[in-house]
Formats: sequence, structure tokens, C-alpha cells
Amino acid sequence: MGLNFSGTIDRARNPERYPDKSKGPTFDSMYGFPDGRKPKIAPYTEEEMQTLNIPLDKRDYCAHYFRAMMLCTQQYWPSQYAYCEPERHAWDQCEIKNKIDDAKEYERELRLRRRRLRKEEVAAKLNSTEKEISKNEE
Amino acid sequence: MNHLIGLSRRSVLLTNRLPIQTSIRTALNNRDWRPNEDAPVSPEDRAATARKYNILEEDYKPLPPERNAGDMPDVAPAGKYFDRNPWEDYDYAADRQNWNEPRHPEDHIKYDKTRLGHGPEKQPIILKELLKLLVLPVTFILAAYGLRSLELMTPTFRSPKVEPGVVHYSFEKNDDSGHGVRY
Repeated sequence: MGLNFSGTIDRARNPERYPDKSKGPTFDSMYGFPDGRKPKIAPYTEEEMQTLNIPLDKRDYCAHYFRAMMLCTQQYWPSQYAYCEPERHAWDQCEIKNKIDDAKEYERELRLRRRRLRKEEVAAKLNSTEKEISKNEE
Repeated sequence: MNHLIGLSRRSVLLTNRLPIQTSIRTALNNRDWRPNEDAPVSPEDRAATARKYNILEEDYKPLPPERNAGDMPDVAPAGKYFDRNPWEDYDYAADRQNWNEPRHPEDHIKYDKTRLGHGPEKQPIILKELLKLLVLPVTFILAAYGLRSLELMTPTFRSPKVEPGVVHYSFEKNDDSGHGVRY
């Protein structure tokens, strides 16, 4: 809780040190990945999602797992026994993977920002030292 | 006997009065529980006991012997707790008593059954009490919802939505593995 409060205050005072959640990642996605990054494949297109009646909140990269759970639930409803637990577990694991990827993106953005600020600081220091040397030379 | 319990003869509040009747009789008549002093007869003794009880000599009047009181004076009741003046400056304000004042056996009641409030105006309204219990959790929830824009405990971006033209990447290497397996 204390870290949360101090972090909030630091974020308010130095917003350039932290990523902006409303904007998302701003750096190049492939910067720093020599072997590239695997693209995420959407399971259904927009039209397919509409046809399959998937809820709007669940139209993401785990929609195929959700559809499997949906069909299983429709089959066994109104029973409340865990007949569809494997399907639900698979969907939940997919969502967890996506959330971990979101956290990794945030961390990458944060580190790249700090790195940029450090580079600017170093450049500013070098410029100031060069200016002093030139002044002394004159 | 019933006047000592505080009941009328035909009261139904206490149907089994035998135990309390026998214990009152025992307390009053048991030879081991008789008082040490006897009622004074001579004027000097009466004056001494009056001084002991802090009463004027002409006011001191012992109880009759069948009451088994010894030399205890026959004091008029000063009144129960609620019958006494609340604005008077007592030595013991919580009991409305003063130090060393004569006390009557009938005045020992501080909380009388007839004075307790069981009327409808004093009964708690259950729904109102339950709503009072909801005040703190609801304020906490509204505060958490209102302070969401401060983004206190979420070091993640929001999940990217599936858009037709935009490509989102995972953190795995692009080595042509996993064809046919949707992430």
C-alpha cells in the first residue's frame, strides 16, 4: 500500500518516466528483438465473431476457447456441475497468458522510457562538459 | 411476604414464589444471621446509636422486633434512583447517593422493570440498522471506483482489442513454429 501511494505520487510528479496506459506502447515493436516477434493470430474475423454470437467483451485473442466453453454450457445447462471445467480452464489460461503479455509490454515500455531519459541526461552532461572545455579553451 | 418481593397477591409475573419466600424467611429468621446489636432502650443508648447513624436523637426510631433489624432505624425511603433529583450535586452521581446517608431497603432498585422502555419508539428498526451496516463498504467501493483514474495498482496495459488492420505481437521468437496452433 505504501509503495502504491509513493508510486502514484512519483507518477504524478514525473509522468515521462511512466508509460501512458491510454496510449499503449509507443516504441517500435521490433526494437531490441533480433529474432523478431511472433504475431498474434486472431481466431475469428469481425464477421465471424458476429455470426457466432460471441459477447462483445470476449471478442479478443481467446474467443475460440470461449466459444468452446459456450457450446459446452449450452449443452449441459441448467446443470451446475463442472462438466465444462476443462473448457473454462483452457479459456482462463489463455486470458492469463494475454494478461502476462500486457504486463510485459508495460514493463518494456517503462524500461525503454527510462533508458531514453538516461541517454538524454548523459548527452546533456556531455554537452555541458564540452561547452566548459570550449569556454576554457577560448 | 409479597410486599417484600414487590408483587401483588394475584400477580402472575412470578408463579413459583416458594423459593424466594423461603430464602427471605431464612435471611430474616435464621439465628446465625441475627444482627449483633439489639434495639436500644435507654436514652443514652438511643443517643449513641442516633449519632452512629448520623440521625438527630429525636428522629431516631428503631424498627419493631419482629422485623429482626437490631438497632437499624426506621427510615422513610429517600426514593429510588429515578425518583431522586437528577440535578442535585451527589457524592456518587452514578448512584444518586451521598456518603453515609441512611438507606432504605426499598430504594436499592436502580433499574426498575416498570421503567424500562420496551415501547415501539425504542425498538430498533432492523432494516435501518442493516442499511447503517452498508455505509462503510459502499463508501469504500465508490472510492475505489472513483479513484480508478489514478491507476494505483495496475502495472499493465489494457488488453488490445482485435482490429482488422492492426497486428499485435507476442514475446516469442518468430521461428515459424506453432503453425495450426492458435495462441
